[in-house]
Amino acid sequence: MMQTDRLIEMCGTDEPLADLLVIDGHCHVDWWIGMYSIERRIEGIIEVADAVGIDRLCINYAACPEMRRANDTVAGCMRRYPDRVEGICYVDLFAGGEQVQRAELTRCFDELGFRGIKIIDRRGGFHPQTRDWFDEDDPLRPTWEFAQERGAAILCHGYLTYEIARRYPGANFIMAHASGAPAQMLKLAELPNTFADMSATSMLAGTLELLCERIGAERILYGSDLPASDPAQRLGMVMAAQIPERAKELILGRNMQGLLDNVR
Amino acid sequence: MRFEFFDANARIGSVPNHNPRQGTTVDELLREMDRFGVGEAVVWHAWCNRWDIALGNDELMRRLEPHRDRLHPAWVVMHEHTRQMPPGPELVARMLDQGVRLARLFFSIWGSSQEYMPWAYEELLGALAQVRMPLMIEWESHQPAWNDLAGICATYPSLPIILTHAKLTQWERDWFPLLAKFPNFHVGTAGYQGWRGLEGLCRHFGPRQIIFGTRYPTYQVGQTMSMVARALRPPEERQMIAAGNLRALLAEVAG
Repeated sequence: MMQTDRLIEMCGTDEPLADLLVIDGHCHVDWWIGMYSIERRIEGIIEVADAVGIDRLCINYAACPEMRRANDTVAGCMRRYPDRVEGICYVDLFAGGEQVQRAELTRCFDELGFRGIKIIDRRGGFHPQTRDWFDEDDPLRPTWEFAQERGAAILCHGYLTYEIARRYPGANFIMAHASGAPAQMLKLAELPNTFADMSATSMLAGTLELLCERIGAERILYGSDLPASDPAQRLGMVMAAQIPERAKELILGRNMQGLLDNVR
Repeated sequence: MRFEFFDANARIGSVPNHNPRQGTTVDELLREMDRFGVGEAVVWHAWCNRWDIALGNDELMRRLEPHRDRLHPAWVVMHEHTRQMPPGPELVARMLDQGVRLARLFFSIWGSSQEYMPWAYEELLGALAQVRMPLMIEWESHQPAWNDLAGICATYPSLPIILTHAKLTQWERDWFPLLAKFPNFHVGTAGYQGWRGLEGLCRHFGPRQIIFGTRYPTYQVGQTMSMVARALRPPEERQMIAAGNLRALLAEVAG
């Protein structure tokens, strides 16, 4: 395996990352919530992945107003680049009840080959609201149960509670942007089935090192949030971090590979 | 390909609530530059906007003295009306005399309302413009005042303006027009994480107005380097961003 000091030196080069597995765990395709974007096609995204050195991309289409259309778009990307794209299924909190949620998850996982889930609240404003209680009538209960059955990982922006993660130990939960709330993240990280992705986290020096100290490199995932931000910038953050070589390998790809392989 | 990097935006000196993971000394800065392969840097001192501008500039010169081959001083400047700084022409003459080729100006700092007032800054900015000394402008606590930036660029077309960090993708719709309208407007790379952002800038405006800067020690050095080095643009354009554009601006300073 590549040496860490070599990774640091490579921050200033365009050399390929060679034998290092890199999986971007937090990607979107197509339009991105009204922002300017120079490139929204999957072909352009793959071109960037090649230049940056990313082997595989976990993609959802979060900005899409319709669940099925979003997932069909991602499925098209998977068909076009089967070795590069991992489909992350879009589940709308209020998409139409338990049957609709489960049917769409089953379609995506069994027919289209998706291996992850992202929860969306299209009615309430994109990301489901953060909650601090456990609700027996949680509208996402079918999704948690599905993930539990399949061993799938769910990308959560808020909403996730300690109680949800505790009740579904067979599912894995990814706190997007390391949850954005340190106290909440640390509490959730007490459970072994929670992970933090580093997309759109603070850019302050020492951020990744601190995350590694507090929750461990084996619980951190490289993610860029493209096309909201550029994957080379976050890649550089990992490459340059003052953490051991093995920690970088885990963060850049092996942790996410483990979550994908866990899906039944 | 390995690129040569010249950092336009580095800092020494401690700040309140200092993060112990971030360096404050010249030795720490040089170690970080060596670790990443950054050849040279333009440096300012934290005392300037947390204690006293003149003391900070003096301390900067003292600290950089043994390393002037790699570390170049940037003085923080301000208008002369509080008597903290000499009048613009005198200040600029002192800067040139001491080999200072870049100035920095802060707005919205110290918890005060220091804003751009054209009539208060005309002597200082006029003097800087006369010798074409690049002026880095930083808005600390909120997004830049785009109209103020436009006003400065329009009033002093021979004064190269560098916005320290453009930061968010969401701001692109605001500062892209500045690049289009004002050839003397430049944008620093520190913290910029726009999706294919450098590619877009180069495609729309060319690479000349993009200046490599890390905002060390606040931001990590490697993240900005990686974005420049791995941009999907010809190597010569990436090299211009990494070092060439800054070098050209500094070379154009008269005197």
